[in-house]
Amino acid sequence: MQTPKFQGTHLFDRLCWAKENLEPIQCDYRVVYEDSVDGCAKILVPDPNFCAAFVNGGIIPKIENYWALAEDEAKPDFVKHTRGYLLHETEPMPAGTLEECIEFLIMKDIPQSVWQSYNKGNKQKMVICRKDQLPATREWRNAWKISDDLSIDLMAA
Amino acid sequence: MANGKIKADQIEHSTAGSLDTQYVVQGSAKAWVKFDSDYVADDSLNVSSVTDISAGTGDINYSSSMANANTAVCANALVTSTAASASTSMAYDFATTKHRNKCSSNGVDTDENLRTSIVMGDLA
Repeated sequence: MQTPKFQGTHLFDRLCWAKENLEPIQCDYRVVYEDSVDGCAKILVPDPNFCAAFVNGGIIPKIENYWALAEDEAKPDFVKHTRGYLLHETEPMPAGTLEECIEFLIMKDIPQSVWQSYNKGNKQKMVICRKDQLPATREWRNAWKISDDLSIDLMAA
Repeated sequence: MANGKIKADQIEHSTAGSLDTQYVVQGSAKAWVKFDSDYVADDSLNVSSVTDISAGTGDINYSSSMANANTAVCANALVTSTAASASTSMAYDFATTKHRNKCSSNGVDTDENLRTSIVMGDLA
């Protein structure tokens, strides 16, 4: 569907338009990551409405704008956002693929410390997989870890 | 009219008085999501992803950030345990970009179905 020219429209209003007009996309991709040595693996599950908005294009702001707000929030004297306009006034992302949507979500919703160095160190810290590659039941969920002997070829499959 | 816009500071009922539209804006949910034990959102608004943190615990990540972390979040779950009275659903760890939704039964974090979060507050 042709997205209206949304630059300058509040992001929340754009998301309402997307929910009203776009078919949600249930995505089979999952992002498994570990951000602490002691904790279990975490699994990012993309939202179907967000995937639809991203793939359609013209709705979601560029990732740099999310990072700018994250930097503001990380400051010790942060009280409230004063640069919300970065989400609403800047040019939105063009239409993208589902794979680009996953990349975007990794950079938005997973800590930078994980994805910036996911394949450095003794162990892989992040893996993109399909949902049927995860355990079928949630038994021992708090013990789930990324396998130590995971091969790069398998991960890319 | 496609993409039409009505601008009004007040709306008025024929007999019941008038209301500032600001009340409507302030009093509307800014994000919501319904998901099951697989952490797949069945439906949502203003949610970019749900992160399965551990048993019973998930992060709800927003597409459009909140202005501050002073949000009011209601979290619920359909607890199937026989001791449902000892079950809790709660939201905590608030940030402008997400909150955490936890469900437990008899003191044990557990993955239940029909979990929901509703977020009230100000958008950035």
